[in-house]
Amino acid sequence: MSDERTYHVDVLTRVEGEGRFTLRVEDGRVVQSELAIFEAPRFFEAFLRGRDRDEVIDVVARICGICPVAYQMSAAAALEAALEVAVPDALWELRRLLYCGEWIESHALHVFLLHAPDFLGFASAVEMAAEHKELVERGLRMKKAGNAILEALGGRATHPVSPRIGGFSKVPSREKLRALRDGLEGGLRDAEATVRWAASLPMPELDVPYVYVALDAPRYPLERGDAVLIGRPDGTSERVAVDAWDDHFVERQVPHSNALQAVLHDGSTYLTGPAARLHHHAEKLHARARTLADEVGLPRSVRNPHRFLVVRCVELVHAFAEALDLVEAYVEPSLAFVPHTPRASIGYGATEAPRGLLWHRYALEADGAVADARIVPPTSQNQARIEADLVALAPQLLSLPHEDATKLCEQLIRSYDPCISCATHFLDLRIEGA
Amino acid sequence: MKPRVIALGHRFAGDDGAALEVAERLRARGHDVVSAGRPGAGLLELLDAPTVLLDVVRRGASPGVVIELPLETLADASVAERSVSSHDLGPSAALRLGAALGRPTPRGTFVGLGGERFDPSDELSPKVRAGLDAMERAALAALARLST
Repeated sequence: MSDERTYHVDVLTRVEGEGRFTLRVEDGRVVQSELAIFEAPRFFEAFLRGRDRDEVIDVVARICGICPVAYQMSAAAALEAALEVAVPDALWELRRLLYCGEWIESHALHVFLLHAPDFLGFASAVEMAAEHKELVERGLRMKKAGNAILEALGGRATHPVSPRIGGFSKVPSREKLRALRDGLEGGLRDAEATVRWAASLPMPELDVPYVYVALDAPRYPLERGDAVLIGRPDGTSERVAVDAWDDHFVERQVPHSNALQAVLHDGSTYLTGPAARLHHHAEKLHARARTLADEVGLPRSVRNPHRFLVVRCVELVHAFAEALDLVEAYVEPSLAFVPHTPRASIGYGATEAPRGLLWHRYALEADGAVADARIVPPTSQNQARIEADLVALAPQLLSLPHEDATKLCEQLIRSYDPCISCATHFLDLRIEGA
Repeated sequence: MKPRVIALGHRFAGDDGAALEVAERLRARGHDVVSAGRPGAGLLELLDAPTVLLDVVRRGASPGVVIELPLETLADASVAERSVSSHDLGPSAALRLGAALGRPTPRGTFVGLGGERFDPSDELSPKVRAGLDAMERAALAALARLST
């Protein structure tokens, strides 16, 4: 007679979006692990066809309210590659600063309002706020400092309007950026305290031999890079040009989800996001962040997904510290953008969204209209990896009471900071054990 | 203090873009307008003035029908609990978070318009489009009350 158990969670909250997960176990063996999501970027790809190339950056910003800059920067990189636009370094530095703002507001949101309640035993940030007011206020302060960067550079915090092909529609004055310093300095102090707090939290155990995938770049990867690094558990690493993506990665349709899952050509699942960035680029962290990482004993290769929280906090320190450096060094560029001429062409671009690698490809007509668009967001890349992690978690689940097992699954999924609302609807978690 | 209009929604999510469209009309009339999209907890940062909060609701109002609530009751109202996306916090949850943190909710009015379709699209359904004028009138009346 087989041991049968069934777990159901109809709504997984505190993820960026909606979907459903099913885990089925028979006699201690996982026979089904499926994360079902709907993926709006598929719609946006169709929505972009026939539109003018100058509309793309504004349209893709609407894919996500939390990480619009990521979509804008990957689109800009791809379109500028297609149109052979050489953006001056000074404008790239402004883009990097803008992206720091997005990392700050996104990571702060996730750490304090979405993930912290798991570790402190609350159902939501609202409940947590009653007992941990200062913690929530700290998160909101940091989020506000990130939003201030977006407003100063992007014109507004939600769906910035200034980024365009070749640069920005308008660049800020030095005085406007220097006005950000107090908020950033306070945010940096808050972020450093947050690393110590996160590292002190009791973490559930899990050890996963990840394949780490992150953008390659001379600095800690963020706003640009021409190659992707694939780091395997055996310690080997491979460098893949951004425009050779299809030679190494494949998006596959799975019956249980509208979203395409990205895997390597050999079928391997892989991890993208903060832990993958740290694995490949730990030595490139800002000194303030690297010091904190060393202080709390964060390894270069984090194999426990629950510790992604700590990595995200270290990246908060990095983003604040680097934003301060960029503000201090800022000299108003002589031009806001580089003009271009439309041409029939194809371009590829990738940047590091808060949740991981975000890859775009655009084919343009001679008049500059979009003939074809492809967007591979980080959550669809992590989707198969989340399913595999839950398989790895199954032995622990079977020894736990139903409610605790369910919470542990949710907590693990949230450690990926999934941005399924780049798609639609609920993440409806179902765990069935037989 | 001059009242502020805060409009929520997503212009590519069908009827969810209706409040943003009304916000543009109010901006053209010279009002202080913030098109906030889906600000989540960021809504709290915007609530530092008397406020008319505009949003599209999935329940509590038929498509194209306008409803109004005092802003201080919105935290406990189910009508604005769920937006098209669970992205971040909805406006009611954001106000509850503010209350938990001891932040006062400003004087103001929530003006909601019943939505019908929230599929990916940049077009409003006919019923909701027909309700835009009523939403604009309700917002103007609320602004007038806050100005006195």
